[in-house]
Amino acid sequence: MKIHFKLTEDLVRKMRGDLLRPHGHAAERVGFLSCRFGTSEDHLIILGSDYHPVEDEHYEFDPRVGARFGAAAIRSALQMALSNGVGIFHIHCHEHLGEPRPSRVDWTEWAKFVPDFWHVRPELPHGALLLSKDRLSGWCWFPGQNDPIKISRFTVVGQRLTYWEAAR
Amino acid sequence: MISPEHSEELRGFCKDVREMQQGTEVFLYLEGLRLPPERQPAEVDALLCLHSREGYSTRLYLSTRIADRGVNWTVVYLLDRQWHTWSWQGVSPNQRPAQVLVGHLKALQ
Amino acid sequence: MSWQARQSFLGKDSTDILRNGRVGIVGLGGGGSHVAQQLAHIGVENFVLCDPDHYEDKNHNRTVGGTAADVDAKTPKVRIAQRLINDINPKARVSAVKHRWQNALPFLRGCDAIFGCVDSYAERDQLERLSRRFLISYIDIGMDVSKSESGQVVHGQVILSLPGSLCMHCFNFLRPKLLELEAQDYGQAGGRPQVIWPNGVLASTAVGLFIQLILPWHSDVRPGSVMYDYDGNRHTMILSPRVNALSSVSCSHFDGSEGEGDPFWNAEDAITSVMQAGVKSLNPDTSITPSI
Repeated sequence: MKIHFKLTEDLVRKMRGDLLRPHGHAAERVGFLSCRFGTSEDHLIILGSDYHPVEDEHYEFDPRVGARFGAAAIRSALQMALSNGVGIFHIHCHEHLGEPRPSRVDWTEWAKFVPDFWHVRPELPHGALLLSKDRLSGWCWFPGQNDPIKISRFTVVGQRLTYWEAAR
Repeated sequence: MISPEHSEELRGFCKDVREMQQGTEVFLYLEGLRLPPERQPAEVDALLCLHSREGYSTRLYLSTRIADRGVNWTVVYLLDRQWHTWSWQGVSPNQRPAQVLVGHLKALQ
Repeated sequence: MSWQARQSFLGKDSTDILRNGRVGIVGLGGGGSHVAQQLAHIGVENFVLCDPDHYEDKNHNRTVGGTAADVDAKTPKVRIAQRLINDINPKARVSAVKHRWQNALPFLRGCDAIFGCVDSYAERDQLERLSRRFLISYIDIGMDVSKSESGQVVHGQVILSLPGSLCMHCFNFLRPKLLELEAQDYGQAGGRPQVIWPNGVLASTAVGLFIQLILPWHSDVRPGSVMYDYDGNRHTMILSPRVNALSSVSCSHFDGSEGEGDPFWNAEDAITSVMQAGVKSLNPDTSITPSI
């Protein structure tokens, strides 16, 4: 299954602007991207719609991980999915050039909360994205399937049109 | 926003009724609309437009063209689907949605 | 030396970027045939071509790639364009859809850019709507010949419509009254005068805008959507005054529908459809005529 993720330059700028702000105790910030869907000839299409930062007060202190957010942050994201009929993708930054790769902690955390979104929107895919200085990578969990699928292609549209195929 | 009463009345003609929005325009999606007798196919999906659009005071769009009925058929992209519509003027929006629908279905009898 | 060596000023990764782009061309007549030819020469390799018509005598004064034999054979226009592209670059993968583009939506949704080379305002309006829904850069071209007191006036436009930026309605190129009048004519937009050289100028400008989007070779690039007015009598292509007049305006015509995707989308159907597509092998010579 091939997945094509599209979003605007403005949205990427907005996400980066929020995710790179320092936080009082969290080493990194995270956020949620609401998404809509379509199908092309040979790809599932995911369209990045709106970015929703995790509020400062929703981060919990945990020096073992870059960022931990509490139930309030999840509730807010769940409400968004329910009210707007959107898929939710968790996003955070890896500040380097090139395709970002998830750490073991990333996988562990994603596996914990992504299934929560199926409580409110069981019919939609949800997932996670990583944002580097010049690239995105992502994984999508489909309803009823345990293993995520890597997003194979990205397009960022704006003053500059950029697209690339993810590494296999 | 369509009232529950009007929605229920429309359901007499189809399997389901759903309001759908494209920008500022609202359409009524009629799933499995039953067409007049002897029309093929017997059921289609449809969009009922109750507002003025491109010179028509109301309009009905179908998921497929109906052979031998209607004139000047055109193909339209709406709500990310292909729809077929024909030239049929004068169905006033100042009546119940079900009456608007019947007014358009007259062209297919 | 590669056949693209002379365009190395576009950047060291330009060959790969061109090769990996996906471009739709709707309308393969006077404008679209030029666009197809130029994109193939420059190294674009993934094309979706949509046109329901076959080649006729009346097209022969302006369609790049069309031959006298094509007139006799009534060759589909998409086949002519596909042949043209693959004669230039046999590696190009062309989905040639001999049907209205509204019946080829799965092919177009995955495009990175769509060139609209169509005759009617309604078609342009709908193509722009598709492009905004699926965050696709849309480039529109068109020409016309009008009568004036002193003779004929050849004119046209090139419009780059970017998601998040001004649209053809913002530029007043599309207007509700125009669409209404055209609908009353039942979409009989064809039959207007058409000649090859204005189409060539418009197509070249459009291709240049696309290349500048993906491979900007200079930092002095105007941000956002743009419109160019072509004066075929004075042989000028100038930035439309409307662009500067709207510099502080945001588009409100697609509020809530940009990036909206498919409102009927269903995960189960989507997975089935994509999985089925995955088992098909794509032959560059494959053309597709979807059923109505």
